[in-house]
Amino acid sequence: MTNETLYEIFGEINDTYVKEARDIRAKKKMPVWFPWAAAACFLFTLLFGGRALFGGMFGNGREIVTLENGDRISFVKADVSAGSIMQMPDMDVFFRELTKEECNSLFAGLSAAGQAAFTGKGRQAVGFEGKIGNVKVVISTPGFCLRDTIIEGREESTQVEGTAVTAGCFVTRPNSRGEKNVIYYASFALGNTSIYVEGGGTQAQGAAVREEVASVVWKLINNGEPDFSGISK
Amino acid sequence: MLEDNRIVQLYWERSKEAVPATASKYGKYCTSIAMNITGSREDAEECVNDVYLNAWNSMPPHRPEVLSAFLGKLTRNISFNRYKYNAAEKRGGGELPLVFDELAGCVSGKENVECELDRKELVKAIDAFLAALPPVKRSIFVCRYWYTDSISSIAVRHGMKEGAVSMTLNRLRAKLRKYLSERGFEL
Repeated sequence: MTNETLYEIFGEINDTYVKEARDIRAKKKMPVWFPWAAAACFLFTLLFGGRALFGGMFGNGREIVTLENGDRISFVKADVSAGSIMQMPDMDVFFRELTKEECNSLFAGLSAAGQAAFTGKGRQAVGFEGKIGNVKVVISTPGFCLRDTIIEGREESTQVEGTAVTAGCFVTRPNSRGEKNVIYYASFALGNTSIYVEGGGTQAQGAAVREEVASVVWKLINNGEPDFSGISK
Repeated sequence: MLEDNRIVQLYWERSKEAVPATASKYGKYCTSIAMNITGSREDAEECVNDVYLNAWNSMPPHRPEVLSAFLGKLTRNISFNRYKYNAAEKRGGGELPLVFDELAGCVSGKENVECELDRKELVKAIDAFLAALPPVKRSIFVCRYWYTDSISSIAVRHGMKEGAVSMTLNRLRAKLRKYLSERGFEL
């Protein structure tokens, strides 16, 4: 199929969506988050510390993975608000799929794949979004927050190779097939970059997902801060 | 301004007020779609005039439930045909070349006969994909790939920064590609 054909096919979507798109107007102005964008990625609002929402799925509220070097990652039960659209500085952002060589330069030995984000003005990458194995990885540099999910709930950090890692887990709402998935996530900083990783699967796959997310966290920390200087638009 | 069902009735009555009433209520709406696609004020005006003619010729027998969408689809199709004509003559601009660049990541680039046979099923699947999106994200997607709005106008409409709109569209395209692939559609 060509892009022109797909564009033509889009023309046949339900009339309701066509009308809805013109009825929607911004209800309020969004705040300008410029200097706080990167810091905002790590803000977790404390709501009800002892709240139990998952019917015992996560036992006493945390699941701990012990890494090869004995450090631990503690995945604490959390809620997730509706995926919100993060604010970014008012400029065009372009994405480019990175080559294998470029991914390897950023994440040596980790079989990563994904896209780098560039601003319209600069030639250097300002972020990355992709996967390492089955784990989603989002990397933001100062002033460019690429995350689109806000987590609310208890916060707990542990040290992994001297780096503070905040991790958690939650169960999604049922999808179109009525299935709920379990999501494990972690966030930490390496130098000037903020890194968010996330893995998901069915509840039966929970343990395997948790182990894989923990493994990616440990490998990324061991690799050190990704160097975007060699990635150009 | 008249209610939509009253305007449609004017067409059915073959009233000379039908087109002026349409132009009064939907002239700017159709012109903005045509401008987005053709990139030329002159071409857009001609396309919109063709829309009114097509509307006159199609009602009756049509009695559209959502008149804005009906007129919008006529405008989109007529404008796209004009764009293709201009492109062959190496003229014109608008947002469409940028939209095509974005959509290029979703398709193989090769036409095949089976694409045509699956078209109805594909539209159904795209509708189902859109149905599952939150209204704001769905609106952003439709504004870009149906209305062919610019990133900046989408940002203003939704009270967002342009970077956030670009990022949202990027993610939605990836999500759509995955959704269709999982359902057996090879684009």
